[in-house]
Amino acid sequence: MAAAGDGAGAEALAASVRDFVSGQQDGRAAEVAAGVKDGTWTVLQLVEALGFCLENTDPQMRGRGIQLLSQVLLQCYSLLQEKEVLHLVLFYESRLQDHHLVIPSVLQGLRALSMCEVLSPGLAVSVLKAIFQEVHVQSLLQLDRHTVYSIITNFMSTREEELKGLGANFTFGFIQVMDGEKDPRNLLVAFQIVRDLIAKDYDLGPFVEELFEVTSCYFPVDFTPPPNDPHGIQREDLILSLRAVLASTPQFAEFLLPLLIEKLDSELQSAKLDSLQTLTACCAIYGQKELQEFLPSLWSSLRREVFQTASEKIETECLAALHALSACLSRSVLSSDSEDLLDSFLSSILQDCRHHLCEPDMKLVWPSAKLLQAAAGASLRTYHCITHSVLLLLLEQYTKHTQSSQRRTILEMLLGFLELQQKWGHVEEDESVLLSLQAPVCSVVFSALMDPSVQLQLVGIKALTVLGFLQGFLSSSDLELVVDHLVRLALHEEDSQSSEAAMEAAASLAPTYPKVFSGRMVPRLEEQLQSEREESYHNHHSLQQRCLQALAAVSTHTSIVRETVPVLLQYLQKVQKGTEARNTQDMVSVCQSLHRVALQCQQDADGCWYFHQTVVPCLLAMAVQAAMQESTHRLPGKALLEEEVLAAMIPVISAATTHLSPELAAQSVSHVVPLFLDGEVSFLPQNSFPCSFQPFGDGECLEAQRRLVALLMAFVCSLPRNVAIPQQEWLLRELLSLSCSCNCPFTATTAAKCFAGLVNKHPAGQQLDEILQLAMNRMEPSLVEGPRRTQALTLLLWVTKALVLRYHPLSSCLTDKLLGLLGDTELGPAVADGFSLLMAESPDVLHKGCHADVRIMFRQRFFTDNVPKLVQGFHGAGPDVKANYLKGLSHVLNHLPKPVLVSELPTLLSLLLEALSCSDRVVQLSTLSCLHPLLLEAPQVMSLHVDTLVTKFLDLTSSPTMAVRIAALRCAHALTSLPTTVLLPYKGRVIRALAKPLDDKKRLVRKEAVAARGEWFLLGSPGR
Amino acid sequence: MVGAGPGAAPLENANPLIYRRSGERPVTAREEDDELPDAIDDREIFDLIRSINDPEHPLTLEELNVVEQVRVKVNDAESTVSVEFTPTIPHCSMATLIGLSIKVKLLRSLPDRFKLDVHITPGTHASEHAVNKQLADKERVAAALENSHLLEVVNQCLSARS
Amino acid sequence: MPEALSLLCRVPAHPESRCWALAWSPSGALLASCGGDRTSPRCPQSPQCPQCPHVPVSPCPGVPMSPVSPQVVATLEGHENEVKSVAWAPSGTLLATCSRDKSVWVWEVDEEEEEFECVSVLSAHTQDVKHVVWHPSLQLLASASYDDTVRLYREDDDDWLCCATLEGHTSTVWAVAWDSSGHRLVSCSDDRTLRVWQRPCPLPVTPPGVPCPLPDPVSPCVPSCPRSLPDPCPLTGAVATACGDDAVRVFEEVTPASPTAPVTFGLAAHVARAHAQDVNGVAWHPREPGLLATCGDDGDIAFWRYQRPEGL
Repeated sequence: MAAAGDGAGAEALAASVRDFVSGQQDGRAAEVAAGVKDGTWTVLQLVEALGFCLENTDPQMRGRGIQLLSQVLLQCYSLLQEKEVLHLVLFYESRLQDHHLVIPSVLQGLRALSMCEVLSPGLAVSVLKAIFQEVHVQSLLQLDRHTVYSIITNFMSTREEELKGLGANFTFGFIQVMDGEKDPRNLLVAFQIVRDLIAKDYDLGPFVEELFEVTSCYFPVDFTPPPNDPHGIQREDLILSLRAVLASTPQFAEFLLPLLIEKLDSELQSAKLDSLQTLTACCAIYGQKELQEFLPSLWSSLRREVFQTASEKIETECLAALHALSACLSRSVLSSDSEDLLDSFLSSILQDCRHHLCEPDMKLVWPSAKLLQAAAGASLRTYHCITHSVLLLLLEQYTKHTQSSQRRTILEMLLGFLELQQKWGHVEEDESVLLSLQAPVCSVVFSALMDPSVQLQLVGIKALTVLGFLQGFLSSSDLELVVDHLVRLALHEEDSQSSEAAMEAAASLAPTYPKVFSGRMVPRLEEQLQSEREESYHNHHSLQQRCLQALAAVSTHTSIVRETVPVLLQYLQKVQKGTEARNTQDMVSVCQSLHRVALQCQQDADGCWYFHQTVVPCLLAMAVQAAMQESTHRLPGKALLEEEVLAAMIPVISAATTHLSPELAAQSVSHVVPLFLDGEVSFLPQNSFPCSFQPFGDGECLEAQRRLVALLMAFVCSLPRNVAIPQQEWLLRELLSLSCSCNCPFTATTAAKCFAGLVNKHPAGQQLDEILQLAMNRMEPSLVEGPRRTQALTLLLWVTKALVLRYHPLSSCLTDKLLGLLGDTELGPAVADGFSLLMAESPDVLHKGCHADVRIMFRQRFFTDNVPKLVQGFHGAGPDVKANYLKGLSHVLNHLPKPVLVSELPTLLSLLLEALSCSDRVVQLSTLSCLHPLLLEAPQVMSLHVDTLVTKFLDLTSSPTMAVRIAALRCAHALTSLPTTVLLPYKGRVIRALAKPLDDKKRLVRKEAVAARGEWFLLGSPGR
Repeated sequence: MVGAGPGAAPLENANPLIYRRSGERPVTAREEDDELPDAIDDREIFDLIRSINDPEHPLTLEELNVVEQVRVKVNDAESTVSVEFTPTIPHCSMATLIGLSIKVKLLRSLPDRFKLDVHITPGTHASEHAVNKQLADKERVAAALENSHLLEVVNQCLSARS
Repeated sequence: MPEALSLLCRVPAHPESRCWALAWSPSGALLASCGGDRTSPRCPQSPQCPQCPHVPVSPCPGVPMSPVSPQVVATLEGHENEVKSVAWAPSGTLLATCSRDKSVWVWEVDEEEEEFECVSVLSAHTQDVKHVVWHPSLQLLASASYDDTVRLYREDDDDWLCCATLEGHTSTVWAVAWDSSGHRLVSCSDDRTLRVWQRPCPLPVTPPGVPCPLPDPVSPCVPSCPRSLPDPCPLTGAVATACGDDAVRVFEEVTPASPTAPVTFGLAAHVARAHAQDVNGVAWHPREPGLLATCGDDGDIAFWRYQRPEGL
């Protein structure tokens, strides 16, 4: 350690000090501090070296000296000894009376000392006293004021007990310090100090009101951060910080509540909102005592706002505040034995709102109902008090008013109160108001179900569901009535909305009352379904459709599924045997119902297996049967084998398979795959067939059998990934060859999709590489020339998709092949459309739901890898194929997540603008739909191109294609979200140009033109 | 043309009758056909004006029954539109402003070829004749829209509700 | 009648706005128009009318009906609302203005000082004053108003007073015009009629005026500005109207069957779709008989040749 008398060190120190003080070399401070840290000299030596200037008569000189000392202390305060600290504190305290130029540095020094752990007891108080006494804080600069707050904060966190020894004087001192503060940065710190004063229970003494005044003067916060504010303080930060102060203690209540009431009356929406939110926050800590005096004014302000406001936000906050007030009063009810405030508060609410409920046509009916519901939702007690008074009234009013629209309003309000009951769960019988009204409530709801007005029916159905969920509310005879009503509405109500709502109500109630629904509803539906036609064909048909939908809807419980599935399958068989013209549509409807049931079973393992075991073999058997008949008897094509019906069966089989456990799935796959590869039919329910089933065999007569590959695809492509598929390589080869050789597009495409679905899940390795190589060998020659180029392209697209999804290394090679084909005059347009297939979610295979290997962000990756190539290809392409590249590009962009699109915008925009001039309407459409979100989300970037955008959009509003005109007008509308100053020069031109589409021959176009033109008129105009 | 806006003054009709909104017009297959022309019909005109906001209530003209589809008549071939509107009370001082909003909305939304006639449903307002005459005077309508305060109120009536 | 009024040419004078009104210079060499496009730059070139190449069309936005003037020499302040019309007295020493503020102001012109002094504020009308026009030779002023009346004013002891109120129209009177002799005054109104009034007794010639119903029931007759022209020269006494139904019409006095028969006017020409939108203004050429200019909301100015049909 360097001795105090080390001459060289002392000289170096003196030199540094001189350089800093006289030479204005700020860098020296760091050197001096480093010297203290490494022990070259001590703080004491520094003070000695500074001696000459600390006593200098020039305040600038003194200031510079103290500045150096303070800067060093800020870096070295942890090295100080207790005694050194004592001396330094005394020195600095004495300097607080010095010239104003010196004060900032003195405060910095004190801040450094306030961080010392070895500060002797009593010094903190002494420093603060000195500051309170000597410094007029609000005449200092922002930074120096901030230093004072930091000193206080530091002491509060380490010397709490000492400061509390100051009693209310500390509070008073701080009040003087912050009084008049204007800077948002300092306010955030000051508010935090006030919060701590209150939270840590400092003595506020007689200064509660002063402390409130010094903070509440900022309420409501009116602050707009300057543009490019480097401090990033938002208005919301200040609002929340101030609210935390104001709502921190009930002691402020007597001052705060009048202020809130006053600001609630203000014209400023933001002041209203802030007041309401602050009030809600206060209710969390207030009690009856604080609120008592102000309840009448609070209630009248809240009521006035809800009755008059046009702003949903204010209404919401008012209701939240009323809810909080009611909850607060409910909380303190138990502890208070004097006058019960809650009762009188609620009765004033009832008095002001209740009578409006009797005027279902008037504007105040809903605001009143919402206020009552907000209060009723606060506690069980408020709920009882309010519903006790309101429910009976609403029931009376329902009977008194006879118009459907009035009844609907009343029933909707009733429904709101019924829903609140659910919040309190099961209620003891003797406590529930509702139970005593069981009979009239049911009768009102049932009468709504019988009303001719659809709107009233819909509310009635909703109410029915709510009642059904109230445990023990509906008696068994009521329940039977409920089911009867639902069956009637589901089947016979003319309006489809009511019918659908009734089915959904049955769906949600069935799991609670499975016996009633399976015993009463299902038989009725079955009977109706089996009945022979009696009325007109059309009525009969639509009734059958409704039955099918209702059977599916009500299948929300395993016991019901076991009843409904056989009914549906039986009906499918009946339709298949029939010869009516509508067979196809009927079969599709049955399949749609089976699909819904399958989805509803998925979460229940038993139900899922039951469904799979029952439905999949049955569908396969029916299809095989039909295919064989066609092969052997050359019968006219059975409806069951039509593409539409097979396509409807795919989701049924898929949904029945995806959720199987691996064991059960393995059991099933061991039957299904041999059926297709070996013709092994023994597991099918009806398995005596006239010939063998050979879907992969050759021969024209097997065409019908080959189509059933669709069902194989639905099954094998939906299996969980860990289920092994027997004879998979053989199966893949068969699929591959079918996809390349078959002339029927449906079969070829299905085989390609099935192949792709399996390849996607195939474990990586040699086997996969071999099969892919095989596929490449089959595809490549066919792609070049010959009669099956389209089939080869379809296979290429699906295999590419399968590999792109799993990030397989071969995918880039396949994508390049596709990019090359964009320049092909024959296949190019189909390839361009294929990019949509690559990017979009496919409904039946290769999606997450069927366990495909889909990596997150595969689209972004595809975008990054291929868009540059597309752009390059576009620039190099001949005029006849240029559009193919644009189309491909716009498909890729269309499926890209918007944030990615926005970030890539600058590089792509010029190409997109070029695409707008492309005459291909698919390109135009997808480019417009690509630009639309960009206009809304990246207005700054887009505004650079406003000239081009305006011109192109306006041009496209006269496109011969309606969809393009609509999209162009939507974009012209979206342009209005660009900065107004950018748009104003175009306002007149756009408004004139948009006059033409106002007279478009298509209504849908005119509608968009009206919207766009209206918005352009408002640009830069007052009142927008 | 009209006095000051609603401001903080108490509402003239604080608790008006309210009516349900008709839903969005369902799109028909014909409308989706690129080739077939759709004539401008009463419902289309009604859809233009039904969502105009009332100047003093947070409600639309449709909800206040100020406009009704049966009081809208259009003849697309002859390019004429006639709209009758019914003020909520016979002394409503907002009648001219409501009529002006309807007129401006139609001026901005209909092709130039249309001749517009916006007037009060006969017998429903104390100053029916005076209001109708004002609305029919295109110089007055043009002058009203030069007044930035009036334009602001009209624009607010025509803005989509926030 | 189709040939009675034939189109010569059409000029898109205010392509981005509407054209409110027109006025020929006394020589007929210039046509001034005013439009709603106050913010648009003044048209730099004067588009030539191919049929009458000596007539350049010069749109002077914001300067209604005043001769083309290169600079503002005075601004007349006083009206509380927009000024609807302004007219020079034939003597050139008086100017009249009217406004939506219901008043008519008469100004005296000090030609040397280029100063205008208001000599009278006439508040006879109870509503907007739409149009003012001076008698061709006397110091007699006529005004038309939203209050359905026409009023006449004359000087009396250094002051001006309203000397007659012409009542009869049932809606806004849009405009008035004197014939060249100053004996007759014609007014057009929103009630879809024209009325012709005869001096010296300010009463309708044929009570209650000559009904010239505008047959189209669709639209009110928006600024329908009739002009009657000097008699002795070949210039006819035909009255042209601009109308809100997009049509231009010309009315002429029907040759009376006997000298004692009442004066009647008949429709001499009717062009139903003269403009694509409302027609706002018409102006006969002061020198060339039958040359008519019209303007409308479509922003066009159209030039027409009028030939009195035979047998009227």
